[in-house]
Amino acid sequence: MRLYQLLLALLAGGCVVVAQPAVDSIVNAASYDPAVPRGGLVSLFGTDLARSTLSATSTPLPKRLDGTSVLVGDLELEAPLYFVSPTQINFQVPFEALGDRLSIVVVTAAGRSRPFLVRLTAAGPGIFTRSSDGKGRALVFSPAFEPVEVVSGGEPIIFYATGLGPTNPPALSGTAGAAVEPFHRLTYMPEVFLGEMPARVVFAGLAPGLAGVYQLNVIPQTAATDRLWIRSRGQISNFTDVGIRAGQNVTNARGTIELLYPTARADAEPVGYSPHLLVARFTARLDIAPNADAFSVAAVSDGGASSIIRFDPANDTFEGIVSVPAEAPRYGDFSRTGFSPVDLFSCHNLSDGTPVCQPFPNAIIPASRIPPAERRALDLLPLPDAPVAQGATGELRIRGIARRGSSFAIDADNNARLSTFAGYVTVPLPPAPSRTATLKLFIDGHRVASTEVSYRVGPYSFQF
Amino acid sequence: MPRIINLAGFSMLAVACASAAPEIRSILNGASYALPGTPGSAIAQGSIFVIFGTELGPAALEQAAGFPLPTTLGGTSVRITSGSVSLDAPLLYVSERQVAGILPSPAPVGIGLVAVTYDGRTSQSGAFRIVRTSPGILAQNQAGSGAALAQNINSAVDQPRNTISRPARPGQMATLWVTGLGPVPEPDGAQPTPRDLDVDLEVLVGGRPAAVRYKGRSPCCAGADQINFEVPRDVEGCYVPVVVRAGGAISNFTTISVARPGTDCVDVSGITGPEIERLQTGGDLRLGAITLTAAKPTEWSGDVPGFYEYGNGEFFQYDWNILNARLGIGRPPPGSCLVSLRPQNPAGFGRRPTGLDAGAALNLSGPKGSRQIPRRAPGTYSESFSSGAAQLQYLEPGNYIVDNGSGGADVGQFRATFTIPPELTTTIQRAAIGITVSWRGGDPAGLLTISGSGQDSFGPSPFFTCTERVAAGRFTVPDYVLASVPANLSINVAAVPGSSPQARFRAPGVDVGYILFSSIEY
Repeated sequence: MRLYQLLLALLAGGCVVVAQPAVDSIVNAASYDPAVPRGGLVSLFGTDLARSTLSATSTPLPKRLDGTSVLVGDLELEAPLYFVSPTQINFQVPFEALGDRLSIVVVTAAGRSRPFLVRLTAAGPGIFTRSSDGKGRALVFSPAFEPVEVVSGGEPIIFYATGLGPTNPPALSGTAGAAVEPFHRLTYMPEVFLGEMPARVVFAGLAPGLAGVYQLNVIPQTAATDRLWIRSRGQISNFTDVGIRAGQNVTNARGTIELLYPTARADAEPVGYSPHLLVARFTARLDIAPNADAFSVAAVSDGGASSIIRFDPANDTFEGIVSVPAEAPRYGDFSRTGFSPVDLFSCHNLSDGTPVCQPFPNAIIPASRIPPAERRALDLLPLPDAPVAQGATGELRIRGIARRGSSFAIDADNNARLSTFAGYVTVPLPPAPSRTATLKLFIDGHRVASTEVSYRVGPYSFQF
Repeated sequence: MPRIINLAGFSMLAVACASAAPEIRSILNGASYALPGTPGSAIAQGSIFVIFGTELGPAALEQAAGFPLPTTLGGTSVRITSGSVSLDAPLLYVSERQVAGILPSPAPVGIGLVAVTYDGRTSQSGAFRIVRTSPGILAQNQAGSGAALAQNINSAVDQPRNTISRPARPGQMATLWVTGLGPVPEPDGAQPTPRDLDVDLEVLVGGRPAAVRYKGRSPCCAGADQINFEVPRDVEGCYVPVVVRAGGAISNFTTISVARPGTDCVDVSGITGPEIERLQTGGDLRLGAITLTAAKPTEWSGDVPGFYEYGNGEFFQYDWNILNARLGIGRPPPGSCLVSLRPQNPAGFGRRPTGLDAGAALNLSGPKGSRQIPRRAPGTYSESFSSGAAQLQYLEPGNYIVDNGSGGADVGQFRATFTIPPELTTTIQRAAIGITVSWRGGDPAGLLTISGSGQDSFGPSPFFTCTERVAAGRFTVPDYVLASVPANLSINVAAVPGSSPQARFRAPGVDVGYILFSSIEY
């Protein structure tokens, strides 16, 4: 569903419900992430969910549309509904729902669906995109609410998200954000990153007239990449993109980016557990213009892996921040990382078809399970500059000299410590046999390399 | 692209700050901490509840000074609404992230809403279920798991807290501290009047019912109940499960330690209570673990059918956190089960385990000849014996000898004998009344764990662990255990490492050494 469609009352031709409703999936309506944020907007997909297509025409949102209702949790709270159709329902997860797992049941005149389990999070930010599937170009507007094609540093933009949590004053489930003061401002201000640079958030709260949808007014800095994402209370949104303005601070910019581990080779060792290490390497060459102003080189990948180098030609310096694994995860100890390691070797289907896997006790992966290839990949990466108290990765800060009018290179021979970076990626369960990592390299706002690499996750043969 | 909606202009919204207000993350039984949506998560009339969240109260903890308990404390108040009734809860303590109070006994049974007001700002409401009885056992970790808050009644004046170094004796009286046995007619914030509550109640200790002598409010503490019971005579161990069934509801699973007079309790791993306390307070233990595995893929795995055989050796100096994960200390004694609502979380970072030099290779000899398991990294030895073979190539049942040649710098020379027992085959019957596991083969002198665990896209589920002697041949998981976990758990049966004397070995420089054979279908 496109966002604007959520707002329109659509009445489609009906088909008569004869079968019991069935739920196939429930995702964050903006990011398509399977985690469901309290008070957020979600999309439920399935069959025989309603007789016809019908949207709410006003707020507070109704709890029943065309005879369909959605019950949330073991307390069976009725969810406010935006839209129902035979195959999709968009609803708001009630703010009153507590707990970290919720069963969701759809009720129609034909009966109740089997409960569908979702993970409830306090925050689960999702940014609405043009394609309405959580990917690609974000829905970005100017202060005059005109679509924005290219974002410029210092120029304010508006975009929309869901899953940003409670507001002050508290909003009732199903009710719209106030259009006049007092607005429903967020209790927790999210961090907004545009082009890997923090943007200044000037307003974050429920969008006036909408329930479960938040409006963010931000002023970005000059972007190092085209990524737009939010971090709200430690939770990271979908990575969306925006059009950015390339700089004129470099010439002859070129480079490569590759995934070092896991590899895409057919005979590569499969990943036997989740989370797994992701190590990437890039090379970059550029000539710094004689009149260059500040610019950046940014190599980014999934799992929070990045190497971002900010150049300050006016002072002949650069500073790079490179993500590398913290010490404890290198020997399998994920107890202070927020990850719950899973033994993919243990995954199997129960008799009812439910796939299950075993967690590693105490969030510790036995040392003997870390394959040699991963050890070799880890050996490429120095420890973070400072011990990491919480989290799986830390930072290396690398400073050096970069002069206007000179050439600069990052590769195995030049500034090599900037070139290799890493993060950790969770494999969603049930695991797919392969995963794709998206890697991008930007130099002064120019995308000079990008790649999507598929690598093997299963089958789960355990080898050395 | 159509306009989203005609909103107030950007400049009108240019107000930057976030606006802090109380936020409720959860409201839990104040003893069991059972998570919403799990069995036992309902909150009983007259019981202690705990609210977790943010901005709930003052930065420093403030406790109620005495009776009657206040309904406003440190600027915080908690309003409970059920149906048309709204009541302010008597408060025990308040802080920024946690508030505890008592659910008023007159709050009607049903779906309740709770809202916290602090400093004039009110949270979004959270929904929870109000019931008459919902027992929760207070735990020493104050999070509802692990050791129960229980006292050994040695005499009227000698009633020490039960710990793994101060076990109860079979047959002696003990006190269990709980909440949620039911409402009382007096105001909940007043000093309680002790009286036996009219509630149908059972205390299960190591799976056996215990004789109950008292069940009701404690005179000391509002909302807190105590149960005086007799420790069954036929239970023993450092982690004997204790669970309360009351009014049709089941409490959290906790443990007490029980040992015969004059002895220490012993964990299923063979480690004693005092030794575990030493490890928990910063001690290290040097573990030598040799595991031989024969794995056979099922259709699910997609691997080439056949046998995959390999040998592993791990020689490490571990701290408590990692050792606990490796050895599984804390299993219930044979014939009983424990339910954990959350995955275990170590107290802090494990220290980096130190790999021990046990020599260049482990030498294995058995019915099919000799093989070497070479060192791959400090403390880590591994070798593959077969990969996708149609028949077992090496790890056949029979007698084996393992040694480490002339030894290494950290682990001296050792030579151990070991028997791969007849293959353990299990049958799992899931029926309406429960799960029965029966088995053949295995090491008759050893122990098995029967565990039900699962991890889905949302993380680990509550899980159970039962222990039984291999010689018993079968085990039925009790109904109150299955009622406390999700129905769709994966059942796993595995030998307890080192539980059989013949599978242990001694080596200079190793505190605990064992050899384990496992046959896996995956």
